[in-house]
Amino acid sequence: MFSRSDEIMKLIFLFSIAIGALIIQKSNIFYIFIVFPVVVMLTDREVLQAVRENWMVTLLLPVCLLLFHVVFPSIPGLLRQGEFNDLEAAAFVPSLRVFVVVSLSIAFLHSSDTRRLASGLTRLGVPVKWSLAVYLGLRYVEVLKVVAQEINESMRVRFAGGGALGWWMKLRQFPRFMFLLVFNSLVRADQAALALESRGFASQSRRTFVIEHSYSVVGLTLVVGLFVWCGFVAWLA
Amino acid sequence: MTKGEVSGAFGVREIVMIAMICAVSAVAYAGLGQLWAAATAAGGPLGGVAIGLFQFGHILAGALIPRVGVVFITSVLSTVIQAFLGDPAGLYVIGWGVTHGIGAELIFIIMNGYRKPGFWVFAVAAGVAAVCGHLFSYWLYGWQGAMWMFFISIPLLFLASAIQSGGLVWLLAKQLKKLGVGRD
Repeated sequence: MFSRSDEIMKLIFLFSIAIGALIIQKSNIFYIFIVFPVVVMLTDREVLQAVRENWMVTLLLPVCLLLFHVVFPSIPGLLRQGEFNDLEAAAFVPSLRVFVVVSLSIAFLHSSDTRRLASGLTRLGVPVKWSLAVYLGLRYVEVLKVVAQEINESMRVRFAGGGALGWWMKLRQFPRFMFLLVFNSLVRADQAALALESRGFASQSRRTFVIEHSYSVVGLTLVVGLFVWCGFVAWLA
Repeated sequence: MTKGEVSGAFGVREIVMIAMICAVSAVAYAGLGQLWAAATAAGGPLGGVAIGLFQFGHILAGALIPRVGVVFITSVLSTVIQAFLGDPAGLYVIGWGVTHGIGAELIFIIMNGYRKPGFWVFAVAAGVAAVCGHLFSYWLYGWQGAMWMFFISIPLLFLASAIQSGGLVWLLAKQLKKLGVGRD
């Protein structure tokens, strides 16, 4: 259901889950609240596939958090065969919270088109120039990765005879690396800005998009379902 | 606009420069971000204090673009881009963007950083931004059981960020100024 929704409804769903999970302080209420997004995740094959394909990124933070919280509150709860006091029960909350939000974030990335998202954001009232800024940033990450690789290779030739740079040399050359990367990016920024202005980009506040965003019934159902669930959880609390 | 004057308007050039700085941050932080995320999550408040480079992107934007609000906007946008690139914290990374941005923007305004950028503005802004982000980490990661670690980590994180991010921005801004890049 999540992957078949439109981009804006998915974003609203994701933000609502992230904020709701963050502000609920009581662990028993949190565990009830998290049931809805977990069910949405488990019943969506694309979400499960995205999580499986990116399992390292998805599990990195939750597992590390669990390790920390097992050490610090203590493991007596586990030793008492699952009987946790309030502090120990709360230890699992950060891990579960991050796991659910990261999983849904990964699924969002895999099932969304950034161009449709940019169009949707402008429909929500976000000024076109800021939607463009996000789109340009995403677009130029790949370009700058190539530039960064070229800079790294030139540094290897100059400072390591073509071999790998040691960690100390990498540290010493980091300011140079950053200067070259930033300088390259600012030159490209000037070129891109000139190209946009010469095509009259800033001449009008309204823009049309090649790929327009449209709301979906599935997405509206998902978000309405979530708000109903939040109301139920609020009533329980 | 005359030199030293601060404007409120964001033209196409400023928007594209902000987008580029955000892209630079995403590329520069790619591996470092995952290391910091794992170290902080597993090691608690003291886990990632030695890594103080995450403030450099938005502080650099403040050094290069004299527009009030540019530090906050760059901080938030760079984390939005990182979230869309698959950050280990998912959408929660935007929380750090907001808190870093608020801390750094306040310092830039209080210390008149947009009119008179300099090392101390960059360093203090980076330190305060890092501490504000640490407060968000406290809330997100539930560090109530490790308060002593949290209190010890604050000055360490402030110093690490001030020196690393503030120092790097100062070096870069100085060199870029010689080339005539950036500030009008």
